[in-house]
Amino acid sequence: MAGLDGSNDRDVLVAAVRTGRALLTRNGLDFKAIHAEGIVHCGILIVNEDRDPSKNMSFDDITRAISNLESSGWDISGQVVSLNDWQFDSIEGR
Amino acid sequence: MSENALKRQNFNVTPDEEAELLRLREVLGASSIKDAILRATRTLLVLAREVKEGRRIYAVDETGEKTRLLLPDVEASMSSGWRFLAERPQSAYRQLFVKGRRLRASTVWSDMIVNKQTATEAADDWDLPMDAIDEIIRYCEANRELIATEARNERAEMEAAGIAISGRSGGKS
Repeated sequence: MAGLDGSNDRDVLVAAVRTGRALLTRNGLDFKAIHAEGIVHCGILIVNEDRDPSKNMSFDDITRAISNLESSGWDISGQVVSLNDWQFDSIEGR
Repeated sequence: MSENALKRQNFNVTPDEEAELLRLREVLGASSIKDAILRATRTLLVLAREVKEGRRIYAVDETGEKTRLLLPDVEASMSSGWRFLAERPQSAYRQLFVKGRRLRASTVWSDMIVNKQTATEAADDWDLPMDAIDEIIRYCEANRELIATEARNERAEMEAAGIAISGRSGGKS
């Protein structure tokens, strides 16, 4: 999110809530911990890394996963979602 | 606190050092030299944490003009040999981040691998200088084991929290 580069994670999540947005992060553990504190949020989307970096999600995989998640109609408010679980080829494939 | 938990700290000071401590006590309005030292310690720890995360400390006057405060004692002790990377103490990850940002070095590195990005493309994408990209690659290649271990731990913790991470893109993950 623009202008929040040096901010702490909690402030970033609060800014996302204030603007009604879900938050996309590569630092899943840090935001999972904040979620566990009970902060009400619009959804935290996590890209988890693989121990083999060549198996990580590409930009296209991330875009497709978000699209699949949107198409599912699932309300992600208050949820922590790993996009790794949504990178299938189409919503019909799930 | 019980008497048994208390520990005695003994150290000698020169007259000049004593004068400095008295001055510190006066400036802070502390009730004792011990109180002054503890208050100064806490303040310095806050500054050290900020510097360790790659931030710079500025003083701002009433016109909004900023003056950078150099803290050589703190900054020298924080030097890890990496110019663009630093620990992020409040993070669950032990691997290094880009200084002053929430960006893990391994995120930049793995994105380059997976998306077949050149160093120039990565520098543009993350708004980082080329030297930072070179340093990130060197760091990640020298710390593959730590990065792999943290990826494994991340997955284990997510799954323990009931978050599904199966990954379904034709053999990935």
